[in-house]
Amino acid sequence: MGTGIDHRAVKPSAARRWTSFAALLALGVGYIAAYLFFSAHSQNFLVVQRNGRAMAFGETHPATSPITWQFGQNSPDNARLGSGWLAAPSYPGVRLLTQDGWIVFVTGRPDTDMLLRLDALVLTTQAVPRNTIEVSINGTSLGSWQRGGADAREPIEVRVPRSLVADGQWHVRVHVDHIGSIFGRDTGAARNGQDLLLLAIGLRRADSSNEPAR
Amino acid sequence: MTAYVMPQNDSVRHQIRDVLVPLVAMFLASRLVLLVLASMTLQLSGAHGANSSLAPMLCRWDCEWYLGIAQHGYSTYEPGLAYGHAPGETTFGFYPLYPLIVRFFTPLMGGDVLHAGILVSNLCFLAALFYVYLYVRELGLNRSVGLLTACMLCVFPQSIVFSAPLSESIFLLLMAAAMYHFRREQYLVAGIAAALLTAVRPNGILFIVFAGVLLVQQHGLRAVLAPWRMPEKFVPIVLAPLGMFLFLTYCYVATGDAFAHESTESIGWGWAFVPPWENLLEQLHSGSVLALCAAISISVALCSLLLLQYGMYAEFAFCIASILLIWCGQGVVSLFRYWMILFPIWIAVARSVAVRPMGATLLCALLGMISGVIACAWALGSIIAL
Repeated sequence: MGTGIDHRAVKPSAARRWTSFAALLALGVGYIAAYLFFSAHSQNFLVVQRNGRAMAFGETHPATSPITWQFGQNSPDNARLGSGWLAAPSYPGVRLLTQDGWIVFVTGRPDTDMLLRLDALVLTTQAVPRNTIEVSINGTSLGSWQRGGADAREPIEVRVPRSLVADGQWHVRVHVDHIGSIFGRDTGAARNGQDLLLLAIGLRRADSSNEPAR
Repeated sequence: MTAYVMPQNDSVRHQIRDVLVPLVAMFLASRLVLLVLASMTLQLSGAHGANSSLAPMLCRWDCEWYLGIAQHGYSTYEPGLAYGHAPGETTFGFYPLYPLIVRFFTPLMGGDVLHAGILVSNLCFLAALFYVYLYVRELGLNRSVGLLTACMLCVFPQSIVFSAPLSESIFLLLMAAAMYHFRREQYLVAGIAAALLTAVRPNGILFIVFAGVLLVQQHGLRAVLAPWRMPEKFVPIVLAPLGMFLFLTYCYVATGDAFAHESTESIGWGWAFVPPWENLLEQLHSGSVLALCAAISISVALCSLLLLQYGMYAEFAFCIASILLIWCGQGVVSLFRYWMILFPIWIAVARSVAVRPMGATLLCALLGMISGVIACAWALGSIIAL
């Protein structure tokens, strides 16, 4: 006695449903895998490109300690600046337009620890009276400094262990917590449209010298 | 709402007269008026030679990027300040489908990429008007609401953008197509449209919000949490990110940076995530055109509440997600361009005013006047037409 239901007709439908679901699941998993792969292996191409240009310049123009570089409109030393900086006629030095800026150069193998000194003006606003600057070299953080108000122009001095730059290659990363408008508007972490008058710090000069023995 | 079923007994001639003719007429009339206004403005401004031509006048703002991609493909080159661009702006700031289609049409226009872009944009806008009309009818609304919605899109402030070599037209077309076919349960077609949509702009991924909410609305949350029971309904949701991921893959192969779009957007265009209230408050206090942009965006958000009144929850979710995304990014830098493509809002507005012919006429007249002013500003390259 049959039920009147043809189970052969039911099974293909269920099989088809599960096949469709499996295909969709596979595609979804593929998206996740692709995203994880891309996240792990991608590097900001603009940063790589600009730092690469600075490094190429540095390799053909190695610096010898003590170094003194001046940055600004039409300065030849701007070639040592990697990503993040802008030289514009309306402001001395170069401005950091994003939260991260790089200075990339090559020296000989150092015999002693080095002292890197950044002569910068750190921007602050009413909402953010102190800005924090962190300096890393070759991926190692060497400290953070708070500046603003009375000490906004105080140079940032970074003691660099010679082991960190043993191969003579310097990738100096300057990170700031806060970006604002040169006219004092507080814009948080965002640039307001394409306002190029934003800056985090204005960098005029970088010096290096041998660190006295302690 | 009852689904719209194309009457089988009506003659084709009747359909052409009732739908095709009005839509084409609105499209042609609106384009003609806007382009004549823009052209006259250009002439009166003293422009001469190539600068006084209509086609180059339509190429504003991001147009040169799209046409550059169509002609030369993608490049990591930064034109920079010397060419009037901010440092960090590159071709990777733009998704590929629109320039690809323009490239396909370029040989048909004798190698003229500009005219190919204009042709593609106008064809896409005309097709979008049809899809929007069909969508309105699919919602169970009458012909008047459908035609009024299409009319609003034609006369919407800044609708000259739909005729310019920019991606708004194709985005509107694919968005309307994906949503229409999804509502008609033509899931594979909807999925293909959604995948193409995310190859036009990354915010096309918000189609998933619409689809997800509609599925919950139609089948309940428990059914949605058991997708193996009706996998065909999830095809559009799963296919939607495909266009975007194909571009990510291309970017990775070309630059080593799958997120090249985001890299150039953040460094070149200043895009960063900021809480929407921070952006809005900053803009409202700026006292400049940006304050007006923010105020208009808030008005659009308020208009979107009509969708809730009419039970169009999925459409509301999509529109409000789109608005929030703009508010969270670099801020609202355009008066109207972002909002034109949120066609469900304009369906709701049309539905509200369609019963009042005088009100509908006044609304369209007002929108048309503002659109005319914006078209003149566009011709002059004024920032209010951005």
